[in-house]
Amino acid sequence: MRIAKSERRLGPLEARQALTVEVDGEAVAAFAGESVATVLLALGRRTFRHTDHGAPRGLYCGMGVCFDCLVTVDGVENVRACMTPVADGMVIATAGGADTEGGAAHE
Amino acid sequence: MSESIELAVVGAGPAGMAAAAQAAELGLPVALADAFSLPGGQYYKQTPPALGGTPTPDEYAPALLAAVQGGGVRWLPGTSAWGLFPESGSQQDQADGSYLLCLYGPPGTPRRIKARTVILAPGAYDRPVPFPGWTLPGVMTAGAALTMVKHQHVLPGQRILLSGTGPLQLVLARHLLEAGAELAAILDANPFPWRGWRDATAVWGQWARLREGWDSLRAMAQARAGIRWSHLVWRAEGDGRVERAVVGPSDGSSHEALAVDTICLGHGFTPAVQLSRLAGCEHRYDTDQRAYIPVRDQWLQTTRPGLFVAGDGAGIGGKDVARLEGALAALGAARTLGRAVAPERVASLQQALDRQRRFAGVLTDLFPLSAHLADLLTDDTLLCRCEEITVGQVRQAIADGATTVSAVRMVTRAGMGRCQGRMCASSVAELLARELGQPVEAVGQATPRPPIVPVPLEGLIDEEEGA
Amino acid sequence: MPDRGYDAVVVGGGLIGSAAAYHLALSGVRTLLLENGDLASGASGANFGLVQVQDAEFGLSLELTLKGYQAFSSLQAELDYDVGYRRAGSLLLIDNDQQWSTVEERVRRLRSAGVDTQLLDGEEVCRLEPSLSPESAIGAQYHPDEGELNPFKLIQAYALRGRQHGLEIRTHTEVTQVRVRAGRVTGVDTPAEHILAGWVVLAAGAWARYLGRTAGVDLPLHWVHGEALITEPLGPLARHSIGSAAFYEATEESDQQEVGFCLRQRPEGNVMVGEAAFVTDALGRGVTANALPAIARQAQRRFPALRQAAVIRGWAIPVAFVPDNRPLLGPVPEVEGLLVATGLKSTIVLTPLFGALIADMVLGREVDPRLAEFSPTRAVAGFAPLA
Repeated sequence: MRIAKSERRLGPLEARQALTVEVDGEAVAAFAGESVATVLLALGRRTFRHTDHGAPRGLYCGMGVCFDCLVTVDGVENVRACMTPVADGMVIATAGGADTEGGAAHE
Repeated sequence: MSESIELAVVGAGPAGMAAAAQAAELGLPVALADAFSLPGGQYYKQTPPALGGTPTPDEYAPALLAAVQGGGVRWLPGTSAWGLFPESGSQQDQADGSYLLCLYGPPGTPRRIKARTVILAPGAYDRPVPFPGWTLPGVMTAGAALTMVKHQHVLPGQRILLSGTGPLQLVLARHLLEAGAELAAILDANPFPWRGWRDATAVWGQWARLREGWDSLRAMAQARAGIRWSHLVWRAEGDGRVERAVVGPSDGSSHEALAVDTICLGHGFTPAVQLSRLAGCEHRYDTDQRAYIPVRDQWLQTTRPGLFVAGDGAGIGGKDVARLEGALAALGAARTLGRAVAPERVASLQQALDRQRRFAGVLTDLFPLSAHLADLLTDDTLLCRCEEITVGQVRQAIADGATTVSAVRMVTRAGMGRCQGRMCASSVAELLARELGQPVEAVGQATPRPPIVPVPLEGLIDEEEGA
Repeated sequence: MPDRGYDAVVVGGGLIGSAAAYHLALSGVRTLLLENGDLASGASGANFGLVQVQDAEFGLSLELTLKGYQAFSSLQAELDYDVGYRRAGSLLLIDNDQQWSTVEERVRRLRSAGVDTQLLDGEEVCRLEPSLSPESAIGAQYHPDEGELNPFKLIQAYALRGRQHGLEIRTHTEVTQVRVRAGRVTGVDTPAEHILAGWVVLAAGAWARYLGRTAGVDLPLHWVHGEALITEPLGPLARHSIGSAAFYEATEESDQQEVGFCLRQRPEGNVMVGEAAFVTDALGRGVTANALPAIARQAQRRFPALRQAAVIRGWAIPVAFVPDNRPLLGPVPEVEGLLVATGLKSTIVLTPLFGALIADMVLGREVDPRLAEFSPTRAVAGFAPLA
């Protein structure tokens, strides 16, 4: 499968198990095996939260030691997006605000 | 109420898996815990089966994964070890001492395990390298980028800059190129490794690695992405996310702005020594590693009898050193438990280890942590990401009389955040050492305190509710 | 330079020691502050930062507490340093009828002494603290105005301002011996040297007992190994600093682990919860395996919203106390020039005052004769000599 420049997910996608999760109130496609961080990156979302001083933060270490990629998952706050596998119906809330890259917002 | 076991292994990367597999082979009851849901750690990280899995490039990984998930090992996934204590607190009779391991995992996971011997295989994490703008979304470690592209099949960005040192950057470059990303540049902080030919004999036998390196170089040549040697990224800039990287020679003689949306930092790794320090093992500062590592004997036993450390958690050596050390530590634990241990097996492990350590030593020698990284810091560069403490604030604390990492921590709060100092303690120590004109060993470390990973309050309780 | 020595050497760089050193320097006394670790690395660094009035012992302690409390409204201005002082009020939770009677009586007596403290029933408490579980208290002793601050910053302020007035501070310097000759201090020993001093002030917390022994004095000090924990930053949870009326019952006689309860949410959002304590002869800083679960059990019972809050560290330290619940403050009659200042039950509120009193004593200024009640060599019921 040729990878188009605007797609962020690397295929093939047909063999995967599709799920639906909610990101900041919007229903979004995801795949079993992906982490919350992956889903956000696939959406073009870089900012996952803001610090006390209002600084934007996102994915940094990708392995659960930096505690920067914190989002709210199913009502529980301060969950590391990179360490949390998605599940069908998961409700994800970021404090990111609108920062999607130009182009399609999600798959 | 806690379970008892002969051997508990913390960390399921190559070292931990090899230790558990070796123990199982000897018929030793062994429990293996890892914070992640899949074994493999970082070196043998698995792509989730639901995403198609990937054939592992390493010949040893499949056997170890099978051993861990077979019957002989009590496998505890998604389980963090947050505390390690001498079992009864009595430190006099060391030979009979055992350990209390405090765990937090999914429902049904034991909260406490009493282990007669413990092997820590906690691995390492990407060394944090602060510079102005390094906290902007889009700046990430090389490890994070590799996980995303290789195991999660998502591009971490479109136009990517790599900055760091050493051959792992090439591996990342190849995966990113194959995934269709554009590489703005690959920067290596060190000069071209001209001296490498002198260590050619150390490379003998490292065929898989050489092959990997060759594949990477070929991919880069095809994409016309070259390496800029002796180069660093000096600043990351952008409005709420990375939009530009200011790059230039390590000596700071010139700068150039590149339009990028992602910066991947790969300046090596630092051992995770939190548990070994908490347990009271003696550590020493290793100037080659630029890190504190536990003191170990030839069985990889620390200064606490019955407690061993294997793999990168005792000093960066790479996946093969980790795998071999895991097996050796398990033999050491078996010996402590009074089991017979075949001397030929030990000798063969030692021999293989010597070879692999020599190779690892070459890499460290050719691609050391650049001495220029300190020049990247400006007064408003954040050192402590969690509490947002700047270089300037730390300098002020030093001017006000702080002479140790602990003192800086108490006054500025650097190191008091969720990451528990993992991202900032070494930077603070190095800054202190420079400002005071002292070696890093002289400025101390923060006191290790449990829980060494954040644990939900109810998870600290030794019995699960409803259990 | 070391030949001349110092007019005063203060041993112990915590709250009392740094305050004393500051006041001494301010008064023109040539002063050296010696600290074994970093400043605030003893019990002061484990202190929750509460500036408390309503838990004071009646009599001289209460009188001094009220006087000491007055210093806080101008403290930040005086020190020209932000120590994070704010007044959010405090609640001492009442668990049972016994405590209720005790508190009722205390409130009556405190109010007649002019302290703005009140007895609240369970319903009123939960209105003040909505996150508190209704089952966890039948009432509380409430003071709407008690304060809190950052003890590290207070110590830092004293150190900085003290230095500006000539105070010398040496951290990572252990005092191994207080030297006495012919009934008079001559100075202190460190591993490297002997330091001459006209006065030696022992403000070394639990360690003051061993140091006193080197001077031939057995101070009536015991200590508990106290432990506490702190969570990640959380949204607003506890509006007041929270304690337990069990504090009044604390006998510190048992060698079993007692779990008291105190909780405070820092301005940054982290929630500190303590405390598990047991009496011991050992002077350790290690968190034990049992303390964290014990504290966690209490915390989640009283504040269920804390159950999923991530705990990011625990700490432990020996905390000195005197079995009769009064501090040690004053000269040692048998050893001229030796002053002791430690063993406070509620330290911060008396810190500025004690700092000033120590300077007064050293300078030979007149002090309230009733302070003899706190004499470090008084007979104390329940005091067992060290093995």
